[in-house]
Amino acid sequence: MSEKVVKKGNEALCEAALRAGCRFFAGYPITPQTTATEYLSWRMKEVGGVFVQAESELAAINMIAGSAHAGCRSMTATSGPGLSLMTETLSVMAGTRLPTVIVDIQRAGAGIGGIQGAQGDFYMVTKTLGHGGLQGLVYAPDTIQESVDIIYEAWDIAEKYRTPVFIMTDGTMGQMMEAVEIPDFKDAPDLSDQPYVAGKRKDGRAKRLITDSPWFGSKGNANDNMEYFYAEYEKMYESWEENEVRYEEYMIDEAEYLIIAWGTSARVAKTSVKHLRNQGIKVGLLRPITLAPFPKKQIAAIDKNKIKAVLTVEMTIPSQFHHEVTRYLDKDIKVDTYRRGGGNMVLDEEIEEAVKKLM
Amino acid sequence: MESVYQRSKALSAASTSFCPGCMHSTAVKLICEVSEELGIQDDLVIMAPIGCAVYLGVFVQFDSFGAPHGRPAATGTGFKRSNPDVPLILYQGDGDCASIGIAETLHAANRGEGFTVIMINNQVYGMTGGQAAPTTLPGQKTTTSQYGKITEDMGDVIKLAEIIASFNAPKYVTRQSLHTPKNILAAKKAIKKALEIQINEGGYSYVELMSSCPTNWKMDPKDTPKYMEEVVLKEFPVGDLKG
Ligand SMILES: Cc1ncc(C[n+]2csc(CCOP(=O)(O)OP(=O)(O)O)c2C)c(N)n1
Repeated sequence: MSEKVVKKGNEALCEAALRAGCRFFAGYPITPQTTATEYLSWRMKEVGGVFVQAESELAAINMIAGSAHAGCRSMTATSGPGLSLMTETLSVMAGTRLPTVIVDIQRAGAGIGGIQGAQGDFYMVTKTLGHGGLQGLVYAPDTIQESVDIIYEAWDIAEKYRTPVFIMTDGTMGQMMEAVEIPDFKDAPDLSDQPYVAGKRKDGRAKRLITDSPWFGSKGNANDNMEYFYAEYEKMYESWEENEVRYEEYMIDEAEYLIIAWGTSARVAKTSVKHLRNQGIKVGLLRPITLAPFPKKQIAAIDKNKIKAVLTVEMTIPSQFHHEVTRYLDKDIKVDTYRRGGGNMVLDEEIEEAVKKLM
Repeated sequence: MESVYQRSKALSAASTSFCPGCMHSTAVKLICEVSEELGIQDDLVIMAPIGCAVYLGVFVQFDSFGAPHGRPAATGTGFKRSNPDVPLILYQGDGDCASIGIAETLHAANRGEGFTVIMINNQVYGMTGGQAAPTTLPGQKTTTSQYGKITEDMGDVIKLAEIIASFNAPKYVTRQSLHTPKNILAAKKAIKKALEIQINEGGYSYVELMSSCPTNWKMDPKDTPKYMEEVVLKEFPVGDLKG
């Protein structure tokens, strides 16, 4: 039975991960992720899974890779500096085609930065996982409930495509409390027949030679095999744009102005949309839920005859998401951005002013 | 006719990619033979390192997977914790295990993770062309210590086996060598003991195997055993350190 509880964002997310069949977590404490690691340190054991407090994020990400090679649903969570440490293995996972779940509870700035919520990992996570140009699927909820619902599906999707799945929240969402419906426990599938799973050889099956790079295949040499398989991966990424794009349209009926934002920025922008609508200003919100695949077509389809101007909102400077939106937006549509950096929250009244300036 | 010796069935038909005279081949062969003797060749999983043995999974008939350079002990931790019944070997070079991955190596040993590390100590980074490693001997010439390794500059020799043996958790820690038939037999016994401990009692075991790199040492393979006996083993004495 699902249950309705009031929980911190990080804890609700972790509980939903367990309900989804995750039975291995490795993590290293970093604000604002720490409450996730603390929660799973005791809760994972209660459900018969494995919790390891890793010696570093480098170790943590490799531990979850190892668990995935054992056919177990595994995950880690981190923030900023920890994510930077994980990048080599993210590229390895994308190359091995290893289904795992990584939660990035974003904090502000480069380097040590600040511990407040922010959205500065957008490029880093959505453009390529580590070196080499391979990708994963990236989800960006704007409520605790949505983060719960997404992580409950995350391994199903990861296993379907054999790819790492990212969930990007931030310090604000991780620490806030909200009433959420936590779904019931479901069983993880038996993954022992998957080509990335080692051990448990049954019925004299042939050995599995699992490598992070597709060196082996029908193409004669390692370079040509890699070239061939990477082109196949590219086709898969393109198929995501057809089949996996998710977005929310909020109060867009008869909208003349559109805010485009994700995660916590979008959540705040919803308040602004309500306020502006109350003032008779026809504004709506388009919120990408998947950041990779990015809702390119949906943004390109914004009609210049209907929408007079677009405002992007994000919690990072220099702009990232803004540039991604303008890549696809009709060049005839007036566009501006409102953003805050340094770990400062975007404010609903400032969003409203920014919309009014566009009018 | 009675068969007294045959090629291990756990070895693939493919020949290895190791240089002539390199003792990696001996180590791989021993692991294969031991797996057969223990009857675990269908169960054993081996982790291939980033290093000369990167293609290890091609040469052996076990399931295999890898990890980024230095990270096998972390990846192995995740695997073994999720699959405690599957025997697991981490096959690692000295650069992998004692330099870039020393944090993962030591923490896994200290936690007593239930796998066996087989560390091939050839005192250089073999795969990248013979640069100095933390195991490179004082005064030894490598491509990054061309006038001989200066310990004040590059640090002294790291004796990983001794460090690991200082922890409470490891069940068996040993250093063996592959330079004479007698040593090879002892090394094989050590590998077998490590795997038996892993399978029967569970727990961490570490087998360091002193090895040669004729290509990067720029030494005729037939001269390597004498050099190892007279020079290398003075710095890295063989024998059991724990268990
Ligand atoms: C992160 C990273 N840094 C550097 C390398 C390059 N590299 C590959 S193998 C290797 C050294 C391997 O030496 P060792 O572990 O001693 O094994 P050997 O080749 O001697 O068997 C290095 C430095 C790499 N692959 N990844």
